[in-house]
Amino acid sequence: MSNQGKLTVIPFGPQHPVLPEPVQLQFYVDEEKIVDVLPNIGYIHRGIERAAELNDYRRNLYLCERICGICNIIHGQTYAGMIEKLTDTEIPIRAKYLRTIWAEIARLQSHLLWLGLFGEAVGFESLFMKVWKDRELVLELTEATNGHRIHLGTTVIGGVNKDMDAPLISRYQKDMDKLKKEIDDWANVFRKDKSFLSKTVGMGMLPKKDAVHSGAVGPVIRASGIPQDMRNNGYEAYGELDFKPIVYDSCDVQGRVLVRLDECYQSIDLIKRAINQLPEGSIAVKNDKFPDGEAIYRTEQPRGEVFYYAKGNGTIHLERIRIRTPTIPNIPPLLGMLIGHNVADIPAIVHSIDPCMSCTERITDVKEMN
Amino acid sequence: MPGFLGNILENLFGKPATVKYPFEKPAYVPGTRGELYFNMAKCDQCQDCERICPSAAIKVDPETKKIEWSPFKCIYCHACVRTCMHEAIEPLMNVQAPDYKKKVKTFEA
Amino acid sequence: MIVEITKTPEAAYNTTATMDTLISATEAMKQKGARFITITTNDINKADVEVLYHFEVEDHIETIHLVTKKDDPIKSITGVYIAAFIGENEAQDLFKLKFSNLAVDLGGRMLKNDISPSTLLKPAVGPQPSIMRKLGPCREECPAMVNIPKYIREVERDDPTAAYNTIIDRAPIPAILGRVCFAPCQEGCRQELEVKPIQIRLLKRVAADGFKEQNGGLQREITCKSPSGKKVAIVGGGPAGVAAAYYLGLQGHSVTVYEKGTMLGGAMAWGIPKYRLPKDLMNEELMARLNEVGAEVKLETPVENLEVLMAEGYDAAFLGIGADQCNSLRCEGEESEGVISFIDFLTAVNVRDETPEIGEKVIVIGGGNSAMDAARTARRLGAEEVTLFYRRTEGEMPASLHEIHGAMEEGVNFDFLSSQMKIIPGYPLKIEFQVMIPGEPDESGRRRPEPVEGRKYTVEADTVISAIGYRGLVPAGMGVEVNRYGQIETDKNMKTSRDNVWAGGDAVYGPTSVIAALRDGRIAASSIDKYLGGEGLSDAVPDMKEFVARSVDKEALRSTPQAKIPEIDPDERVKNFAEVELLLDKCKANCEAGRCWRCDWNE
Repeated sequence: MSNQGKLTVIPFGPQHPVLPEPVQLQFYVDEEKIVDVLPNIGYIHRGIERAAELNDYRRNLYLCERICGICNIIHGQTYAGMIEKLTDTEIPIRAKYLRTIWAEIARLQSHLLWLGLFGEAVGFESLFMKVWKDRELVLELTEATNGHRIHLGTTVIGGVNKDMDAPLISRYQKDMDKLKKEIDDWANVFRKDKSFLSKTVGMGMLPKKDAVHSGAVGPVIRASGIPQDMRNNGYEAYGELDFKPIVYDSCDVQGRVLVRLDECYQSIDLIKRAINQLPEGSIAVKNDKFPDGEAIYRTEQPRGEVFYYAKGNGTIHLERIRIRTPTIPNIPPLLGMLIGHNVADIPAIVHSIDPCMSCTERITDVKEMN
Repeated sequence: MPGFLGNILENLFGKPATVKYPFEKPAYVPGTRGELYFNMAKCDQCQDCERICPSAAIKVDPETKKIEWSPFKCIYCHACVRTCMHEAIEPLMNVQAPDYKKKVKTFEA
Repeated sequence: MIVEITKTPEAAYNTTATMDTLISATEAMKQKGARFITITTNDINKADVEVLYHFEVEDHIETIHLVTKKDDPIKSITGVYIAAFIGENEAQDLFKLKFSNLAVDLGGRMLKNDISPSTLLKPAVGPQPSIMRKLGPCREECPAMVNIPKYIREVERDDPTAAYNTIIDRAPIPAILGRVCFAPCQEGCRQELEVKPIQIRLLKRVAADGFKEQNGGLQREITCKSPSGKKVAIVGGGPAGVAAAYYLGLQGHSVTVYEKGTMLGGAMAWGIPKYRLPKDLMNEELMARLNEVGAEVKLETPVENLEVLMAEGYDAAFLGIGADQCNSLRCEGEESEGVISFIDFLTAVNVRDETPEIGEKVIVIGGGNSAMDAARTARRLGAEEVTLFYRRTEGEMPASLHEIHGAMEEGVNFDFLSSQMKIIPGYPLKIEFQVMIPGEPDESGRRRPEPVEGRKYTVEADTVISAIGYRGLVPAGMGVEVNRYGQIETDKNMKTSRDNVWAGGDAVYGPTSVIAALRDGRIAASSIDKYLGGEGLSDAVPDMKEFVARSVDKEALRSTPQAKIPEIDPDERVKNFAEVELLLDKCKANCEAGRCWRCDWNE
């Protein structure tokens, strides 16, 4: 930073067409090469952890579901899972399968959204439109389940509140087959198109050692050759569905694209298998204690590992809740990845970590920056 | 480009993917979290719905037996529908229309 | 939401405040229904700063301006408006302002208020309901405040001993109440709206009978407080007297019960027939309570003069003398032979086990529970035709529906809107009735019946039982003040006008109920204990943490039907005085207890 006086500062964000949510990255640029990056987050701080302490623990479910729009189903399920751990409630097996099915639907929807936006970030606008048209299939499926496209609203503490009957199950199976055929149509563009590959191969390198040291999560670290996936731990019904994380060794942006593309196929497969194996039983169970003690719960969101911590003291209010969403640990690797690239490569690389900023804002003190 | 040709022709001659809301409404399924209707014949003013509402959109007055519900503060999570033991809150299958002023709906016994 | 922010703030929306008026200005904002937004500051010069508190009121923004020095601590407005402390934290860090009297510590432990803990998400307009309901509506309806939700759950968990002890904490005779209480709790139950309240009275009986089976009897092993050396006399062995004796005995005082009749129980003994309350069970429970605290019982010992009694060395006295003077029929010929008061009739049958000759046709005049008891007892003694005459309509009868249905099933005839005019003596008696129609409402809200001109008729009968009400008569030797109805005057602690004399039950309020008498006995016992140097009885409600919430499966709870109390067939019933209500089997009773919505643990 000693020749900072000769460098140009380009502010990227907070509003940018490639970013779904606002974050600011200040690039220190020497002619065309990036020399340094300074992030600036805090644009969507809403005081959610503070609000969660004032609410009683039943209302917090609805608050946590609305932290982020794209990953809302899994936020709700993680919160409910954490409260169930605090109150020693064991949910029925059918509820676990149903939650798994809807978590995979959320993952599908999020990855399709990302693939479309990434296509636009490298300049492929009609690919963006095509991928989002196929995403509509998933959203219409969600709408047929509970009447709403994004906020499914089926999670309650103790299970789920909506059951899948036979017509709905057959509709899921048909739509998953249809979606697979549609994805097959354009998947090869991501894998083989020359103009696409020239923008992604070799860009944004994150070597294996750096990935582990800087604490990346999700598809970012799986594209660097490390098979880290929370679903391996076997929460909900993943223990009974034979699950293996998808790993690529290329450590670059193309690796992350391929990880997410293959995860779409894996989600479709998991949904079909879970539906075939759906056991009988009730869908919710009584929850009869106040939360007491401390508990953590980690699940796999489309963007990585989300970590919930709660502390209860035996009354109806929770004493402290802490939510660490997957984009925050992905920002330091991002800063490392960007150094040395051209300015024109910035949108693709920034978008490759899948920044979901509205999940991110948890910081409560504001310090002066020099 | 050759792979995409099939898609281009299909989109050229196919029907649009959008639903022209509000002129064409989608088919609402049971479970749609729409507007609320408070059936005062079944309500006994226990204030359970007011306690569970995450956004404080419901106000119950036990003395005059009136309920005020604000459709603009409501987040349509339907926690109140699930909590009411008398099933006095009935969800309608529609979506709240936008308006110029934030109105409040009152239900009386 | 559209908020109009005008470029130059209008003077009408700004208030200037000084340090002293800051809290009242914030209070005024709160009254208007304002919502706190944030705090900003303006440096006026090096040392002074202007702090602006921004509030949103309906569709515009109002501001309170406060000018102060930077180093002077500013009063915390958190005590007034809980959401404001977020602004204080920010102001502390960003604007270097100091706040005094902070209601929270900045380490992160946040302030929770019992009244409205979640004001951050709610705009603080108007009062918010408390986050937990402390008492269920059933408990609020009970005159004695028995902890009904707690014992319902204990019955569901199949723990009758714990349930029995929970009830005794407030009402010492659960086995009797499970048969005779008029159960205002069941009318308060929230499921009454769907015509299936929890059968709380039945569960009390299940708890008592279950305890008796587990324990081998109704007497428990309890430890009272160490003897205090004080002696208390209880005049009257009815529910009020027994309750007072039990609670005083628990506190360690030495108690003696004086009863003028041949058995304890008061109105429970003579007034409630054997088919509702078997007398040996009643005696067993009353004696169990009195034996547990070591009280002395003197039967067939009437007390007329309190001076003489207190001279025997008592420090205090409780009058539970009840009411036993039947109201007169107020018609000519009521002293004829064959006209009896229901008190004499029921006492003969219930207490002395006699079978008086009442003939074939019996007329009962009256509409309360005592009239039902008299009519059903007359049927069991062999009367072929029993008719009950009431001067108002069927819907206005004060008897409980359960009793009216029981009487109708057993073949009692009812005749409404007829009032007695004259009784002509003879064999058989002739009674003249006047037809009435409902007229204007009187001060109790019921419509006063008015006679219809020229419509009279005569009925013959062998016996006429008058059951139109009764009142108490306090002997002059008690030396306490009475009001014009003959009821003893007391204050809210059941203390009479005489120095160390308390009273309760029917003697104070007129004929009410067993549970009201138990409540009076407990209040008086607490007050007597304090007078004698003790601490009184505690009214604490147990902690909610131990209790279990209702199931989340609302559909199952709503679709389970109410358990009906099994009863003997009506044709079999009238042949004898066996107990009409049979015991419900245990798992059905536990299911009924599981149906409770647990209104006190709000979930």
